[in-house]
Amino acid sequence: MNDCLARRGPCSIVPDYMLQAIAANGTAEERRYARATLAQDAAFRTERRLQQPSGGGQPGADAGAGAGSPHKNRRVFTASNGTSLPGTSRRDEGQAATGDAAVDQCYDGLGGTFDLFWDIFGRDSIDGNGMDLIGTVHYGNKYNNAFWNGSQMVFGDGDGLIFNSFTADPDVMGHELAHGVTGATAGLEYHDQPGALNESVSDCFGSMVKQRMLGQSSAQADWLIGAHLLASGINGVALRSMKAPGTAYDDSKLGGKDPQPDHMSKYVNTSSDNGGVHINSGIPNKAFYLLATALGGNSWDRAGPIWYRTLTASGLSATAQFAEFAKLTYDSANALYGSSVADVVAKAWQDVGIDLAITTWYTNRSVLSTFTSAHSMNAWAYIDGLGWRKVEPRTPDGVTNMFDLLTEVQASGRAATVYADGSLIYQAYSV
Amino acid sequence: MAIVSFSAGQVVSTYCSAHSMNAWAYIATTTPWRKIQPISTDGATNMFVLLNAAKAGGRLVSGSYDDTTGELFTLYMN
Repeated sequence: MNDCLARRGPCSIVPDYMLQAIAANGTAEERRYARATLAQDAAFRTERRLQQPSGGGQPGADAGAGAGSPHKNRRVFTASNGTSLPGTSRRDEGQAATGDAAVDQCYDGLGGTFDLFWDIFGRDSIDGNGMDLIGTVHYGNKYNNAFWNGSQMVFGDGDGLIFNSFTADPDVMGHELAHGVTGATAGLEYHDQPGALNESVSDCFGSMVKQRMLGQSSAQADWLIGAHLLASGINGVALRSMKAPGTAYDDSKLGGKDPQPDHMSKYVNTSSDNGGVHINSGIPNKAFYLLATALGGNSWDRAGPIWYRTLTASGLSATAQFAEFAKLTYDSANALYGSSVADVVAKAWQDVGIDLAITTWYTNRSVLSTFTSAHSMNAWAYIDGLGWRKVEPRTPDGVTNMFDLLTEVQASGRAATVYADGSLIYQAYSV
Repeated sequence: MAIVSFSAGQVVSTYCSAHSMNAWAYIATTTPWRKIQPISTDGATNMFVLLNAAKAGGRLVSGSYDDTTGELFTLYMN
């Protein structure tokens, strides 16, 4: 079930708190359009009108990989600045460009999203069963949002004062359609940490769509969500930055500085935004960015499959907290590519403040520092790639033996292989 | 019990856990892995200190082991 829809109506790219800020701080005209967008979104939540496209359906039970040929069927409509969906047909699958930028950008973005999921993950459309990809552009009058309503994408033109057209960024499309994939698979609940994971997963797949369409490697990508969305008068570069959460914008009309944290130590406890789903998504976003860039190549080469397997085939629960998701990405990486890649996953999560606390062997690691005091069994070592770990305080002589091994390794500049978890070292070899 | 002597052995690797008197060494001339005779905590630690220092410093060791249990009995660092 798509909890994003059930909880708050459409899965929108612009969060309510941003629109509320504009409604409070913008010019008279900006406030009018922001309030109109909020009212339209509220009306949708009340109405909960879900369209049934022909040839497909709402995402339901995940059909997973397609049985044979994929069913790629894009259908782009215009609402002609009204709100009836899907509107008037403008471009169907295989038809030539129309010259209407919004129509053609929508067509291309839907295609890029479909291609990513099929070519890389073997998934036939959003529901895994060849669901038609429907998009409606020119929705509403200067409507300041884009959303997935459970059956289709809907794009506003933006007011041109705060927001540009919502079809300009393929990552926006990928983001919204990925909500459908999440709804058809793990069903991450749209509140607090599972909701932030829901949002983050969408940002991750949206970024992969954009990077693949632009032919960008992880190193070349800007890792911005909605890089063309903010109008020229707004002090900001995008809605969100996966590379540097909290730096995408700083404008009083948007409510001030980008509130996203980049580390668990800065986790935002709030009741707004469904418990900060668009805010705390910065933490897993950063972890994905760190992983993709550490692995090198393209984000969809290995980081993407790790995330996809975690979402669809790892047993991820709908109420997963960051720690569960992180552990499952580690397991997915281990299953797909082995322990060396899994270690990179663990490091990425550690760098955003989520320690996987995996008890396993860490091989050929340098001992960078050691520490002890005169207290009994108080001996520590800083293991390269792990950080500080305490020698398991099991027996006094056992601790001394372990500490002796580690200090000698450090002094000689050699390496140790240790069996440890998030806090303790249990066994050690000098290599 | 038969005590077997060895000399000029390279300490290839050492191992321990935090359990009491659970310290081992792999000495090239006395394969396989041998546990330090667990008869006293300080004694086992002393032997383990010697082995780690020898490995770290690239020095050779000599000593003896119990042929019945395989456990290291005495050690010299050369």
